[in-house]
Amino acid sequence: MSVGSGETVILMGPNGSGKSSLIHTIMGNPDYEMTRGDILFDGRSLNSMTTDQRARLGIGVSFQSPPKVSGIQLGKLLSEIHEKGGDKAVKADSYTELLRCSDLVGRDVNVGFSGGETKRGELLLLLAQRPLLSMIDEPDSGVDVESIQLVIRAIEELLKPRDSEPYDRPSALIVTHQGTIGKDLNVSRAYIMIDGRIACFGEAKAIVDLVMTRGFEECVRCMRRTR
Amino acid sequence: MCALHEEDALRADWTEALRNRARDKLSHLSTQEMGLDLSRYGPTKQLDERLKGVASLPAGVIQASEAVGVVSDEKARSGTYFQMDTSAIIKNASVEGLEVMSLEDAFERIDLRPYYWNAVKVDKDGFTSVVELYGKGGYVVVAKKGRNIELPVQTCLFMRTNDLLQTPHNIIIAEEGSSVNIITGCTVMPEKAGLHIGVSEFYVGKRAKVTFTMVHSWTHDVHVRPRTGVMVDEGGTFISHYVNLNPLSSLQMYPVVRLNGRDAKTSISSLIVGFGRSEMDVGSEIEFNAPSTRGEIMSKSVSTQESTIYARGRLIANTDKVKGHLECRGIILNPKSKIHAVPELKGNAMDIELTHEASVGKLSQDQIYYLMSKGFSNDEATSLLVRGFMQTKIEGIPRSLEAMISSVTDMVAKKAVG
Repeated sequence: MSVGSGETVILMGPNGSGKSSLIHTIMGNPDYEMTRGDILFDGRSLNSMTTDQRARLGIGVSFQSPPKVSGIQLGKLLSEIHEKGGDKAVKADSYTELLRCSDLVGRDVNVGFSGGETKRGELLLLLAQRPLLSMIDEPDSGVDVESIQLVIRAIEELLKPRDSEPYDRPSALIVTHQGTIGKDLNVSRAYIMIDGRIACFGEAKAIVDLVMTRGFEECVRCMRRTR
Repeated sequence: MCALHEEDALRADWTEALRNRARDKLSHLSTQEMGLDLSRYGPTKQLDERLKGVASLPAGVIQASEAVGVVSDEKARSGTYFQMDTSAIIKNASVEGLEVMSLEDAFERIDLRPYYWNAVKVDKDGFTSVVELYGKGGYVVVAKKGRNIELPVQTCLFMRTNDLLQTPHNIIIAEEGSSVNIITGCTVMPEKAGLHIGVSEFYVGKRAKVTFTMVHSWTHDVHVRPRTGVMVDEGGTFISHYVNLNPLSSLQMYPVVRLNGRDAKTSISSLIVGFGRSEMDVGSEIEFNAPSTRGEIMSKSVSTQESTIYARGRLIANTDKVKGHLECRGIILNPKSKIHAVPELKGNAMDIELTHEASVGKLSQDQIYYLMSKGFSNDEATSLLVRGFMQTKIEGIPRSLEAMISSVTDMVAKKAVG
């Protein structure tokens, strides 16, 4: 599986197929052990790097269910990320406004957040980080229509090149099991994951249409045939 | 035992019976039972000087006391009491309806009989007995009936002489319908050893409110034995917060708040940080003695290095229609440090609601991973989380105090995790 520079790729698959596990593994979550294979970023192997080293290389995640962090306000975390060398040219306030997070910044991170608020908060932090590769886990599940539009605008913003490094074109890996979000974004390719394996991949529209019309069962059957 | 030195002169005839109880207590206690050899410590000569204010103190003393919340700009305070070793050198009250004096002055000016050793028993233990027999100084703060003392009263118990025995006996009286907010800082000159035994008695009158913030900063060779009792009358409120900033040799305290009148309320919070080899045994107790009383204890402990913390808490419901909650949370930051949480609930009536939550352990690895994925190193994530854990939201305190507690918390968090 690969995500190219400036590319937006979606990863689809039924519940429990291992999509979030893949994201955690790429990010280096110590709860996940990599038994074989290699993860390369910009030609460098990530395998022996800690999570923060990976983040500093330019990999970021918007988690599907991030932990609640009592005692740290979202706004405080946002400014700490900024101070740590997020994109200085970025105006945190404008993103706070863009994602309608003004009433969230004074609250403890993810504590008592609704589904939509959690996603908006995660994307706000990701925007402050300005990663080269954004991994966004299920931005479209459990979110109302209005929030979906905010989420899409935030992802578009994440994909814009930074003023400071205009030749680096940010990319995104978006996990979804609906595929509708792919229609609003300029997605090039889609992968399907079944039982922890990449079952299929191809041009995004074709894959999404296939899943939408025939469901993942068809992928399972197809996988059996090819085996 | 404990023939420390000459007993202090009798303060009033009526205290003779109390002294006898203290003598009796001490005569039956061995050094082992006291847990400390008191013979090492003694008083120092009384100072005659009286200073106008904190600004007149030597620079080193000002600096050390500022670290525990004392301000030299006394416009922001409605009163100041400053005790150097065993001498009260500053005692000012700048607003109507407030009195700030030393215990010795109070014996001459007010009838202390309803307040002296009524919230803490004189023979509770060896330390209270020592304070009665050998005690010097301590502050008496009185908020007069119906007076709302807006700016805080600051008190400071400062230890300057090596191997000092500092034994203040403090009495805080909030008369009916009054409110007062006290910030007390106890500290010591760097590198000095000593024993600090502070008795504090609080009398919160009907519909009165007392907010008490205590900041301690000691050295690794100071033993600390505060003994505190609080009586809260009908509709009264007592709010307290404790934090320590530095290592010490040992600390043992167990304030008891008695909610004696209907609708009385209390909220007791503490942030105990174990530095170095500190041994800290800290707890609070609330007795619910009247219907419709409410109380909560919020105890947070962080043990670092080779420290040991006992975090105790006890709620005792003695009557129906009371509600209490105890929260006891501890974070262990080093494999050589220990936390022992001891939450206790005791119901002596049926129609009561007492609850507790307790947790002890390392920081959540999920939270550390989460912050690391945002680009923070393991140490930075730990530091952010510990600082977040330490932040305490205390309901019902003035904004200025909130800011002060928040900055003290930040300071101690930095010391704990760098």
